[in-house]
Amino acid sequence: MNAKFPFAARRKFLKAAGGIAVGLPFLESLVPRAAHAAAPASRFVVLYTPCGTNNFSLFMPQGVGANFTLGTESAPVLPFKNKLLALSGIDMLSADAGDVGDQHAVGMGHMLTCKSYEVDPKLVQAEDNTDYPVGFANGISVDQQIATAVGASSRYKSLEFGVQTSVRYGNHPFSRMVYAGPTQPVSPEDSPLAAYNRLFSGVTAAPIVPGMLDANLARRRSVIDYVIKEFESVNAAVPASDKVRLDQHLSMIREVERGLASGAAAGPVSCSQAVGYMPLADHLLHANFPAVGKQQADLLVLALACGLTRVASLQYSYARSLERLEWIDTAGCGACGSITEDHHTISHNGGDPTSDAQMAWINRWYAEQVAYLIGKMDSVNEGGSTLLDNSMAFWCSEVSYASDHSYHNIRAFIFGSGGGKIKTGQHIAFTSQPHNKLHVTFMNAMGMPVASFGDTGFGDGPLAGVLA
Amino acid sequence: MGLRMKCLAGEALAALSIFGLLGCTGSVPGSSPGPGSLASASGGDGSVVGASGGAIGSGGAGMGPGGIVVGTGGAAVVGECTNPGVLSPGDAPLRRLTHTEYDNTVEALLGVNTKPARAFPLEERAYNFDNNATVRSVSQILAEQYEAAATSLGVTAISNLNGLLGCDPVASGEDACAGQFIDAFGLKSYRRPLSAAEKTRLLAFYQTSKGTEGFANAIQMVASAILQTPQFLYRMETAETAGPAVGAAPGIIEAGPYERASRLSYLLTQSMPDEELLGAAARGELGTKEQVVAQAQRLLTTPKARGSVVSFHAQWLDFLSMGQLTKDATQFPTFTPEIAGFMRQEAEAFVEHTIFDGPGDMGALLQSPQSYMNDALAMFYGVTPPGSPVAPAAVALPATQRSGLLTLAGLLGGHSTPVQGNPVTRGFFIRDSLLCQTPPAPPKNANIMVPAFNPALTTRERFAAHSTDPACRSCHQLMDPIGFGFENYDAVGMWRDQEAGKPVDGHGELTGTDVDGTFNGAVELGQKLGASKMVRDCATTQWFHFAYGRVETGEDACTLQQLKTAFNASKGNVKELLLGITQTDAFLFRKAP
Repeated sequence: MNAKFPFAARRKFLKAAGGIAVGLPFLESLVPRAAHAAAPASRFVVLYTPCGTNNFSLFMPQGVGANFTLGTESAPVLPFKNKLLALSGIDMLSADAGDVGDQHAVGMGHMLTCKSYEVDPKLVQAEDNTDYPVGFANGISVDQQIATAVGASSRYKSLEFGVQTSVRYGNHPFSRMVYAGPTQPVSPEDSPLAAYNRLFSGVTAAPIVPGMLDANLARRRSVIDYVIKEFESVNAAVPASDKVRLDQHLSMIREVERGLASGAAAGPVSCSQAVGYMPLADHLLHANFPAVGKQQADLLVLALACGLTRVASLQYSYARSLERLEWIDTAGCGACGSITEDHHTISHNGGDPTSDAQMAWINRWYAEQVAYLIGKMDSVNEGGSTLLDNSMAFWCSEVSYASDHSYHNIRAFIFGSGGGKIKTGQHIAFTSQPHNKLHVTFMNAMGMPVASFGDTGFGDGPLAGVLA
Repeated sequence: MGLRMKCLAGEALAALSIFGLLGCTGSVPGSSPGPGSLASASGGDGSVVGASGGAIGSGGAGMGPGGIVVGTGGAAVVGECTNPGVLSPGDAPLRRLTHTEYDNTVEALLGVNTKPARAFPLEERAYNFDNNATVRSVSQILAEQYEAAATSLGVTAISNLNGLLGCDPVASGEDACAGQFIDAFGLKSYRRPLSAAEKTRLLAFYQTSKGTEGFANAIQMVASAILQTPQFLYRMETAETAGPAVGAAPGIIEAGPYERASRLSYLLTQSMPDEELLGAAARGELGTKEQVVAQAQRLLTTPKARGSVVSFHAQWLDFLSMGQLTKDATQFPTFTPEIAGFMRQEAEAFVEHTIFDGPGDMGALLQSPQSYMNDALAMFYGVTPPGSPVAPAAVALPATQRSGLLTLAGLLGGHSTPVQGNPVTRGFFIRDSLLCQTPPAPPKNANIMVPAFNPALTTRERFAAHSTDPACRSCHQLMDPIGFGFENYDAVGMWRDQEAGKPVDGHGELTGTDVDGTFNGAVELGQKLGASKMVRDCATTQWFHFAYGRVETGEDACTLQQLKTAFNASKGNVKELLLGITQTDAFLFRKAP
């Protein structure tokens, strides 16, 4: 039986998951909703898949304007061509400016923050040959900046979903792209079950009696008020260096309080029909990676559709991904053979025909996952437009060209126009524009009148010709 | 360029000199200079190196394009212990309970072993460990889960109301009973008696809650609230809990009796002080070094002490990822996720039994052929199963093949790709984790692809480019010659005499250590490392990080020297080291608030 691994494990999952096909059969029942009478809110989504590309011509759009084409690696998103704004010539100049340390970690940190980091000697990790100096990014990420501006009225300012993001490095610069502030990484929820419970049943994965928390809502509010006062009381007794920690903790408790005060931990009534959800047996089991990804995508779409948040992210794996994607069907790939090495290792074997083919096929597989999520978003009717139309979903990676860890010509695919705020259906070819400008563009499209973001000196203002 | 020069000290001097002599610069010539950095480890009590580090860099130590960054084992400037008679406890940052400590504490407090923290988000790990006070922060998800766990624990707790209260509200009156409960539950939860103000606040909360929700619910709310307070979630050391000032040392005070009790229990048992320890604190019986060490000795005999020591090793040597190993099914058809899990179990059992039921020293950890595994793993190893289908049991492995931690299947398998052993990462592990010398990161433009698996070549042959290409060689000779000493172990850590139809050459070489020289195979390497002072000093530094929840500074020079001297004198006895940790300035004293 041992020889069956990993297929045995995969079968185990399929059995555990039953026939749910990880879809959301209840999604259709959400629409139309009364809330859609008003103009739907614009949403911002970040999608991350690791390790860039080893062949720009297979990934990046070819031809400018509306008549662009996509190669082998990104072709799966072609059905959404009219709702895609593909940019080339965007550089992470801030990442190029001198951060030392592992280049995947540097790229991961800069990708959404545009901020340098102080190498933190405390954050090295002995694992394979990755004992490199790294540090958490020294600034807030664009999604959190947007969440701060637009999130106050929703149940969650933002939601972070992950797919086995922390199995290798834990809470580490390799594994984190979202930052609440300088050196404050936000951990994504890697468990679909925990995410589901958090969003739709008001409980966590902690072993508790179902319904217990809702029944206790009034008491929980009183308790949290007491806890907040207790934090304030003891704050005076600790030194300044420790106050910072307690204050940070207290700010998170205030978010819990906000949630409890909003009426219930569960979502709006129209979205509380998410019953019968069948969790995976083990969301950290390597073989469950593809299924976890689909479930997390489903939950992300549901959370946006239900108005639980306007800002969300989905992170597949982690920077410098050491995951071996052996489940990818390489039929049709040609030179691939079976995938026996991990993603990162393959990414550093440029020139080897087998590795190049495998790298392309891995990116193609990730593009299929992105297409799945985008398709789900496009299937949610919001009264004449779709959830995708009212969103901007930014697909990114921590490096552009994997072989030499380049930060030039980064992946910048944006799906959806944010409710007509940006001009989709085209490829714009820029020449070395800083990704700071891309993030300013996102913020402007989300209604934020800002002119700069991240480290300065690389260029301010939005990208030309993108905003509608 | 954002060059960031960091200073380093101690053994880093030795390490850096080696790297310098070997010309390891972390950059590949003939390419644009990448911001490769020279990472080096400290952890020594050797001589101080200037803040710039430039003095030693001039010899071509590769200080050019990168900065010098301290590695896993290292820290900031520590320097020598020049004033051993002067109390110098260093900082004592506020420490929040780790997830393990939370679960253990909740279990000790309420008698429930539901381990709610297993659902909490993963811990930050810094310097290998999950308890570094300066990097840990609370996310919204964690705050929500603290709240949910406290609520459910409170609801569960009042299901046996009188048991929780410790009194009968009918007989003694609800308010009197609640007052008793608040005193007793507060004492255990805060690991010290409540202050008058704290008690007043809790009583007021109880009264208000009782008015709206009734008595039982009010008790639940008080319990749930206590489980979310900073006094519970953090190990608070304030003016109220402080010990007496130390006359001769301005600004230094004794850690108070309850502070010492918590310091002892969380170091040695990863849990709250037990009744005896709280009693000793109440009676003022933790005032002397002798009283403290006597309690430490007692705690070391409890089962929880084993958990704490295993937890240290699992984090230091990264047993944590063993359970996630995946291997190529064609080459290793008997390797399953279950076997991966058993390998982690083996590593933990080996550490536990070697330290608590065996010789207990670093030498044994690095050399013992005695291991602990269940039947399934024994069959995987190809040795006689011990007749224990689930739990690990003692198994004598061939003494010519196995050498303690060095040859654990999970460790060797962890430092391998799915198809082949990786001498680079195996060598790196020894250099970095056991010697606290961190070689530099590969340069930006290096092709770090592991040579493709080729059944016609031995691993040594496949990795030969590292020894022939001068650009690779300068750094890789720090790692590969050690790693080649593990050629007798395949990608799942199993012994092999032949590879690619040729006899395995298991020779390796150590350089830049106090046990330099060639060796044949991991067993001989184990003999060398088992006798190495550098390895013992490195382990001491790791224990420092774990024990104090922070990185050492110059203020800790004497504490570290005291620990290293004692650890070497005891031939690396781990329990002795733990006792020694409780006798240091950093453990017994703190700065006045």
